[in-house]
Amino acid sequence: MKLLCIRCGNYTYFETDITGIKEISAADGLMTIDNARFPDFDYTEDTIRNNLKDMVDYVLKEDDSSLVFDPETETYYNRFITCARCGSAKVIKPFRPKRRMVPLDQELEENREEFNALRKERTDENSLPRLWEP
Amino acid sequence: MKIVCPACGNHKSFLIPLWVRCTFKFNEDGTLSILHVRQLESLEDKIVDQGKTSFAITCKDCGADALVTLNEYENLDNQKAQRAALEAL
Repeated sequence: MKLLCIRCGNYTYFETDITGIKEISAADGLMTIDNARFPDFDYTEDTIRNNLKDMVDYVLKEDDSSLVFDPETETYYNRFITCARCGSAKVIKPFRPKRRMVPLDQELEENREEFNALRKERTDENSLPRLWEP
Repeated sequence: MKIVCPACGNHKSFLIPLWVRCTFKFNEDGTLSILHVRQLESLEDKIVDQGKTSFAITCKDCGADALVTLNEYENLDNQKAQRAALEAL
C-alpha cells in the first residue's frame, strides 16, 4: 500500500493530471490529431507513462510538499492525486511507524568484518591465479 | 489557418502538449497500470492561445515554436481595402 484515501479507504485506484504530447499533421488542407510517432517509439505513450511515474514518485517522496492543510475541515488534501473511487483529494501516504534508529558507530562496528572481507576481496583480485591468456 | 515552423519551414508535423487526466492503479508488484486517459484541454483553444502560454505548439523536426496564422488572407484583404480606398480618392 503506497497511497491511501482516508475518505473511502481505497488504496488502489487514483487519478492525476499530467501533460501528454499529441501530433498535429497538416496535409491537403486537413489537420489530423494523432499520437506522435517516431521511427523507433511512440512519443505520446512514452510521455504519458513517464510523466505519470514522475508524478507518483514525487508525491511518494515529497509527501509534505504535496499535501495542503485545510484549517476549516482540519484535514490534509493532496494537490496532485485524487481518489478515483470517491473523487476525494484526501489522499495521503499511509502511516508507518519509524524504523528503530541504530547509532552509526554501532552499525559500523557490527558490519566491520563484512567490510574487511569486501576490501580484502578487492586487494587480492590481482593475485588470483590466471586461468587463461588473452 | 496555417501552421509553419519559422526556423526550418516545416508545415506538416507539429507537437502539441495537452493536459490529460490519467486514471491509474497500483499493482501488487508495485508497478503502475493506466486505466484511462481523458483529455482536459480543447485543441481549438490551444491553437488560438499559441504564443500566449509557455506550453506552445512546436515543430516536430527542429523543436522551435510554431507560427500559427489563423486567417492567412487577412493581409490580402487589408491590401485590397487600402487599394480600393486609394482608388476612391
